[in-house]
Amino acid sequence: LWWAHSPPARLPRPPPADAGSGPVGPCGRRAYAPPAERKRFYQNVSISQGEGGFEINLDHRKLKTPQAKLFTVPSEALAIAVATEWDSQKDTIKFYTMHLTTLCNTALDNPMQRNKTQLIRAAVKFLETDTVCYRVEEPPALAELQKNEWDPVVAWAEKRYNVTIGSSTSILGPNIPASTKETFVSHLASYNMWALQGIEFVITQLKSLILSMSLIDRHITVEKAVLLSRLEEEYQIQRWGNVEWAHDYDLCELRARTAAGTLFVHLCSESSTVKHKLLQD
Amino acid sequence: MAALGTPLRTLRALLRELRHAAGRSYRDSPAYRHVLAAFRAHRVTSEKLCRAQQELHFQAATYLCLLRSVREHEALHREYHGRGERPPPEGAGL
Repeated sequence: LWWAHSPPARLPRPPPADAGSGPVGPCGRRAYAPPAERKRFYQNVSISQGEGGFEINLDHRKLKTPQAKLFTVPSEALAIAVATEWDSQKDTIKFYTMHLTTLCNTALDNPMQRNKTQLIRAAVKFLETDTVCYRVEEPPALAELQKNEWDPVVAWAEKRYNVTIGSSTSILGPNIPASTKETFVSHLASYNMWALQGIEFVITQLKSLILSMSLIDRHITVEKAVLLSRLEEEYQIQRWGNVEWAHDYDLCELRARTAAGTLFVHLCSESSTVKHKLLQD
Repeated sequence: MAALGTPLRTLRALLRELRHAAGRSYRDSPAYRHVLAAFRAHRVTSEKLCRAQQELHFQAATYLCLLRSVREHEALHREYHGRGERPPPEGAGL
């Protein structure tokens, strides 16, 4: 078991691959994903400081990543938040709620094996299909809502980064000038690898580079960013009604992931609290 | 800077969420102590407009959003998605 230093004898072996969870490829993503839930097997969670940074202890065992690396984070505040995730699990460990732990695991293991350039490219590519740039023409009420809610944040980004972005009702999306992309590429290059993983995560959640930068730059809150990202859903909900088990469920999940990603970026970027050795690009 | 409300309100809500997450010994939990210490160090409960304080407040509000959303998401999951599939005999008997 990958998260225990010495696997205790009494814990069960992981279920065989054909136990209904689908095909497990040799280096596919399925092989990387831990089970959704398992019983809490530790009493105490604590933090300690090692050579590379801060470590999480579950009783006397040191937490490890899915690829069996020692779980080390560069920021004490981040370690505390991760420890809190582990300590707040009750009878079962619900991995799908432990977003900070997941982000740290991704940063440490880099299972997709992406380098800084690839991460930045993936992030900036989103600009071509940025949610806030993609406008509808119908129904007029929605078009108006998009104009009122999204124009200000696009304007903010254009001013803040001194770029041209614009918006479009065309199916091809907005035409983003190369200089705009270059500006964002060089801005993102100023972040370290960990923070970049977080930024790219937030972008894929919100489906918008502009909303993500607005959030990272503390121009809007997580709740606002999520609302703006889900503007069309919110519009439809107001028109047709809310379905708690779907709408609220998605809303809470998106808020949780976006909040985790944002916090992760900020905690990995603070120079005063960060162990730079760990953040090597 | 984002519209956040007062730092005191955020701090109170955040401590409440941490109490909920930690259980009995919340006051001793690292997170509770860290948040209190950070707010004290920056005196965020006053009305000064220092940039470091604003950053801390934003971070606290973000963490509050995380804890709250995870709790709400889990509650919804338990309510609507926790039961899993019925076994075939039970399903057939519906």
